[in-house]
Amino acid sequence: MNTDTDGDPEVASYLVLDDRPGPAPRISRERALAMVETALAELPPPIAAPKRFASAGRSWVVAAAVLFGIVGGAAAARWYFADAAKAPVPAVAAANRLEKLAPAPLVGVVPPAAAVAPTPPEEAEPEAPADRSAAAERRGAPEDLLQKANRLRTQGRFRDAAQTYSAVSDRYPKTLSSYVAQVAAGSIELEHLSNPGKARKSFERALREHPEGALDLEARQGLATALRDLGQEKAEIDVLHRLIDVHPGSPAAKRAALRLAELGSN
Amino acid sequence: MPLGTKKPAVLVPDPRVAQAAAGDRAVAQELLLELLPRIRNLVRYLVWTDADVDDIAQLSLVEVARSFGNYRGEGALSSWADRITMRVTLHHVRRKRNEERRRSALSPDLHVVSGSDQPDDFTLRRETAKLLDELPDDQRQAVVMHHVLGLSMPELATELGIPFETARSRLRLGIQKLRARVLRRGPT
Repeated sequence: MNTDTDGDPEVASYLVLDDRPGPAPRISRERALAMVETALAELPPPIAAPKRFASAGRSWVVAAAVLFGIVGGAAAARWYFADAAKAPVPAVAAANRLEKLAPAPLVGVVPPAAAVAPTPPEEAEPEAPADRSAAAERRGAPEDLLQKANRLRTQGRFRDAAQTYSAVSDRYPKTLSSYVAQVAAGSIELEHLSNPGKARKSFERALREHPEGALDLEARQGLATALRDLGQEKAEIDVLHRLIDVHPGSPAAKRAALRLAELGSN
Repeated sequence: MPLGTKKPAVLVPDPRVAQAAAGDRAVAQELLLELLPRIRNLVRYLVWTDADVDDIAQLSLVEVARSFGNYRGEGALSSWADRITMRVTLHHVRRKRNEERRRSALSPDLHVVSGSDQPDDFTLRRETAKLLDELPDDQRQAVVMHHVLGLSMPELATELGIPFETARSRLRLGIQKLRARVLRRGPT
């Protein structure tokens, strides 16, 4: 970067960009909500994905597929364990449910058949609580808990969010929800809680329990960063080499190669 | 790294983005609400007065919401949204360039400080925006894009569609003027 314009901390230190108040004038929460709703109203409704795979953006696609898998899997579990005498669901609730279950509008992408249950519309509807079996409740819970963790993170309650993500992993081990939660928990420990040790454990567990899983790249990147923060260069180098081996040609592999060069290990 | 930018975030995509891209509007709403304050602040750095901030922020929000499916997780979500906001804002500014230019009066709420959180900080940021208001548009954009968004000089030239040396000159002049105004006003 150009050094003859960078060296002015007196001026540049004023130019802070974040989500705190200023320099934009304050607005009310209601006004902010109205703006967001306006933006959402501009969006087209979710559409079904075409029956083919895209070749680009592999990690993004598989991550999306995992998330759809969670939603679809939970729906399928409820469907499977549903009592035949379940109460009818209002049409509006069913529509909302369907909207959530709709595949991503990613061009040329369809989730793997195993990840998303081919749930007929009427069978994807949630049952009345009174009729829900214990097993169905158990199987439907990871998704709810994951949503709760997401909400906590949105509210900036990172410690609570990390604990909730961990609860998903502890209560529902070796599920897809658990896998996503482990990577998300690692991310929070690393980015917001300054706890690379815990982050390392989360990422390592994700990699151990789901070798070559859909979030493999993200987990390896997070693990490498955690090790870097912990000052464990040798382990970081091993992870970076493995990342390059498993994901050659990815932008992350290029960054990993640069980091390896910094560490003197090519 | 230019001041005013954060340490690059760990490259672990927020799983909510995939949910938003999949059509989960509740999650999309959460994400947009998180991003909105930063979007508005960036817009204010880039444009004159407060009058256009929410209009341009609204356009940026729409663009961000439409683009969730394109986010590859190769950087922080906020940085990705910054780039979108920057482009939307520049497009808007260019479109309005031949229309009415500077409004003489500042918005009445420029000096209003309310609420309990960091009033001094808020005032300082507002003063910074007022200092930027005294720069020509092209120099202002160069300063913000370089020092706030961390664009390199080649990136700056590309985004503005101008030669490298022109970008460099705009940035240098903008910084000089900004420095002079800061010194004139004295320490805050």
